[in-house]
Amino acid sequence: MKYDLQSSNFRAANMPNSTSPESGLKRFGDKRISDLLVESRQANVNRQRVQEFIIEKLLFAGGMAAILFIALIFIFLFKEGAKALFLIKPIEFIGTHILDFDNNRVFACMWQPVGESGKYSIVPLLIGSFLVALPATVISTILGGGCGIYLAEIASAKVREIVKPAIELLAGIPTVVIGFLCLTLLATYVQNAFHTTFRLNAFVGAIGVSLVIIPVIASITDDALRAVPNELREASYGLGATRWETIWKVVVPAGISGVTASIILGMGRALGETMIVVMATGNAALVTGNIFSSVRTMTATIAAELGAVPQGGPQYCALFLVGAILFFITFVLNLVAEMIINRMRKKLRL
Amino acid sequence: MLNISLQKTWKEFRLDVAFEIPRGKVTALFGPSGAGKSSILRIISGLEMADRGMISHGKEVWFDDTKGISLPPQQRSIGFVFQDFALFPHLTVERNVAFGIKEKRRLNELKDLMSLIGLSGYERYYPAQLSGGQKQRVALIRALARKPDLLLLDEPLSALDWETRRQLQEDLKRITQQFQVTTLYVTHDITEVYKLADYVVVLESGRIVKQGTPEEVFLGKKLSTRIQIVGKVVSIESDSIIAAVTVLHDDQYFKTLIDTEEVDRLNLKVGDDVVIGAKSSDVILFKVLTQS
Repeated sequence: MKYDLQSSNFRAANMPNSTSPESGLKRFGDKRISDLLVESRQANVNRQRVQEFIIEKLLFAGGMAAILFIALIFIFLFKEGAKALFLIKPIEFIGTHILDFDNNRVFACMWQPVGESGKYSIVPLLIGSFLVALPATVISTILGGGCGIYLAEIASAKVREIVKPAIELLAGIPTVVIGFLCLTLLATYVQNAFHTTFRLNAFVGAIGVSLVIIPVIASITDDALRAVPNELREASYGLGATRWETIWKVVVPAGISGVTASIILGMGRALGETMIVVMATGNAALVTGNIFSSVRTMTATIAAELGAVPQGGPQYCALFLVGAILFFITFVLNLVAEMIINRMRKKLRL
Repeated sequence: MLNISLQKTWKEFRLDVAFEIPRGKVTALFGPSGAGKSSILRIISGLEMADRGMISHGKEVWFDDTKGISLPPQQRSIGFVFQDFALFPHLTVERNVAFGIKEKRRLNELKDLMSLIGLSGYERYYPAQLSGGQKQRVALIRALARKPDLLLLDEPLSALDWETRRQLQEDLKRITQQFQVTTLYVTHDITEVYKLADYVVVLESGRIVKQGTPEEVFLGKKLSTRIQIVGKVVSIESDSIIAAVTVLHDDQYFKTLIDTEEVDRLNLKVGDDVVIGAKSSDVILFKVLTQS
C-alpha cells in the first residue's frame, strides 16, 4: 500500500474508488472531518492501550513482589533452619536419652539449649503453642462468633454503630499491654478461681491471646453473615421459621465459609502471637496436657532466646528451625482454610 | 376470603389500597414497576409493616393497627415465592422443600411433591446444580409444601428466559389448580395475567385503578369483541402510513395491519404484550373440505 504523505489524505491516495471527494461531506483543510474524528479516536485508543499495559504490568509486578518476598523469607528460614539438622542429630529434635534421679536411662523431650550437651526437643514447644492456641481459638470462636452473629443478625443499627468500632478498637490494643494485664491481674484471678499450681499458665495466655483474635473472628463473621442475601432470611420467615431457626438453619450455614475462614485465620494469629505468651504463660518448656500448667510456646522461645545466642551456633540454627516449623504450620493452616472455603463456595456457588 | 386495606407512606411514595382476594382463586396484582405491587405483597406476608390498615384472613386478623395486632410472618399461613428463587444454597432440593414442613409424618409426602414438579430424582441436588426453571419450581413447591392459606408470588417468572417462562406458566396453572390455594400473583406481564389469573387488580403509583376479571379490566365491557388473542409483539414493519405488526401467541403468528400513528400513540415496541381483539361483524368463514 502506498501512502501519499504530501497530502496526508490516506483515503484519497489508497482507495481508487474514493479518489474524488464525495460531495456534501464537510471538509477541514484537505481532510474530511469524519476522517479526523477517526484518527483522533484512534490516538485515544492507542493512549488507553499504553496506559492499560503499564497499569497491568505494575499490578503484576506488585503481585509478584509479594510472592517473591514470601519465597525469600521461606528460603532464608529454611536455609538457616536446615543447618541445625547438620549441627544437631535430627532425633534430638524429638528427644534425648538422659539419666533420671535413679540413674536409669530414659528418653525425655526437653528444650534446654544451654551448656555442652544442650537439649533441643521441639516437642514441648509444639505442645506449648497448641496448648495456648487451641483453647484461645475455642474461646474466641464462641465469644467472637457469637458477637459476629449478634452484630449481623440481632443488633439494631444504633447498637451496631457503637459495638463494631469498639470491637475493632480491641484489636488495636498493643499486645504488650494485654500481656501486662494478663501478667498482673488476670493471672491472679485465674489462680484464685481454679487454685492452680502455676500462677502463669497456658490458660492465662489463651485468654490473653483470645482478646486479640476475638475482634478478628467477630468482624469477619459479621461481614460474612451480612453478605448472605436478605431474601434467604425472608424466605425462611415466609416458610414459618422463627428468628432463631432462621439464624441457625439458614444464615449461619449459608455464610459458613466466611465463618470458617475467620476461625482458621484466628487460629493462625493465635499460633503466631508472641508478646502475650512471653508474658503470661510462664515460659517453662514442659511436656504436659494440663492447660493450667506453665508452657513455653515456639514464638516465645524465639523471641526470648534469639537475641542472646551466638550467630551460627547450634541453638541459633535450632531457633531458626523452630521458626521454619511455625511458618510451615501456619502456611498449611491457611492452605487448608483456602481449600475448605473454595470447596464450600463451589458447592453453594455463593 | 382475604380482606386487605393498607396505607403506608415512604419518602415520596404513598400506598393506599383496599381489595379482596377470593378464596381458592388466583388474583393477579398487575402494574408497572414502581407501582407498589411488591410492597403490598411484603406487607401482607408480614415482612414489612403498613402504617395503617387491616389484613384479615377469614376470622383471623393478621394486622390491625387500631388494635395493635401484627402477627410476625411465621404466624401467618403464607407461602412466599421470590423473583430470585431464594433457595437455601446449603440445603439439598429435598431439604429445601422440607424446610417449611413442621410435622414429621408429612415428610413422606416429599416424593409426591417432587414428582408433581417433575423433579423426581433431583432430591439430592443442590440449588446451584439446577437451571433457573427448575429452581423456581422447587421454590414454588417449597412454598406450597406447608399447605399455606395464601400463596404469594412476587414476579416469579421474570428472572427466567422467555421459553422457560412459557413452560412454567403451564406448570403454575396446573399446580395452583391442584392445590386450590388462594393465590396473589404479582406481575407486570399481561400474558401471565391472562393465562393464570381469575381476577386482576391493576395498580398505578400506589393506587388501585381497576379491578375485575382480566377480560373486564383489559378490554372494557363495552367492547364487544368476540376473538381475543393475547401475545407478544415480535416484529413491527412500518412505513409512513401503515404498520404490519406480528404477534406471537403460543406457537402461532398473527399478522395485523394498523395505522402507523397508532403504533406511535401506543408507543408499541417489539416485546410488548398486546391483545388482538376482533369484532364478529366482518368475519368470513370457510369450511375446510375434507376428502371423505
